[in-house]
Amino acid sequence: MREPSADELRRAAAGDERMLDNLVRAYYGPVYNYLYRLVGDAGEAEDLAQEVFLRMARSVGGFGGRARFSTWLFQIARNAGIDHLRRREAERARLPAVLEPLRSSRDAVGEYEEAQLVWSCIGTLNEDLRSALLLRDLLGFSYREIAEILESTLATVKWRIYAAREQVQERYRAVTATEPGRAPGLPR
Amino acid sequence: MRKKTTRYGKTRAAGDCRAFRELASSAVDGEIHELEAYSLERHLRSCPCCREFRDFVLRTGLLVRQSPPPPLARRPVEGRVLARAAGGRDRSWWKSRRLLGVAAGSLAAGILLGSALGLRVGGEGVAAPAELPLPRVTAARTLDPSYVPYLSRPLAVAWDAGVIRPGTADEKRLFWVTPMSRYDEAHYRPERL
Repeated sequence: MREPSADELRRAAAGDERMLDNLVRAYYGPVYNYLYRLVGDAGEAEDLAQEVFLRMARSVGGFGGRARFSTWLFQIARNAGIDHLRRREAERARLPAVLEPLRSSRDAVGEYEEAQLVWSCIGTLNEDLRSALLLRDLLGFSYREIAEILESTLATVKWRIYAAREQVQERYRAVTATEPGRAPGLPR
Repeated sequence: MRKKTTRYGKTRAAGDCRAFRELASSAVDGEIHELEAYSLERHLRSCPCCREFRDFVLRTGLLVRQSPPPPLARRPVEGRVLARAAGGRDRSWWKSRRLLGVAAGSLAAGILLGSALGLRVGGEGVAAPAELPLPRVTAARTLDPSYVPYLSRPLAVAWDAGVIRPGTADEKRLFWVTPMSRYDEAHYRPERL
């Protein structure tokens, strides 16, 4: 993700439509992808992504430039996602699309199915762990950047990413344990 | 292996293995200190369980990065909508005709005063920060290209630029992101760590 320059951000803050369009073009995909993986529903993720960019447009003038723009934007995205998940908590009994019930191990053939299984396992993590893991594995942020986005310490981020991976492996193994001819959790 | 429960749920490993698995997780992301890397390497050689965890993390990380999200059902929000939102924050202030009149008057007076004093209005914008150069790497030895998908972002950049230089932090990190079973032992020299 290319970071916009200070001048570009000033123009965006002044309401330059072209610059705002450029920011949307550059960041909409990653933001939508992150939100989709966080909330587990494409429609809701799109609504949230629109909301994130509206919030960004309103407050980009106050962006001090102390952090990277992408870090700041994903902080907004993360807050929007977490707020949404909290609002939805009451009706959380039903799992969203990405959290669909873990597949039977017999279905797990081929890379696509394996990826789906991994996503199912990630979907069962709690929000803190999932958010940290997505920022690292999906978007490639460094631990320090993730700490900024999650407003947390480096040690906490390191631990959350580890705990997330540990739990994903545990759930993955539980699903694949019965599959003959394939050691659970081992890369092919 | 003892099981340990935390507020985030149950973690599988406990004791020494838990610490090494945490290190392995950081190592995969290239976020590990050299001294830790050395002790981790020693442990991984003797612990298939932790090696399996490290390989699992590499594999799932790759799958996660390669999974595209579902296509968008609508077009993303447009710049003109955002521009309206960006301008909206001060609208109440500008609605005041009296303040608008004062602002216009001040501006006119400022321009007149400026031209009288021979000042020039305007100037160049703030220059964009220069792009960071790619890490300079010199050719030393080649690496199996099949490892490349496992590399973290900075290492991938270094790989793209050429070959990782031996004895550098990059190479040490590279060792940790390379599945042990596929690593060419001949290239490994522990004295570098």
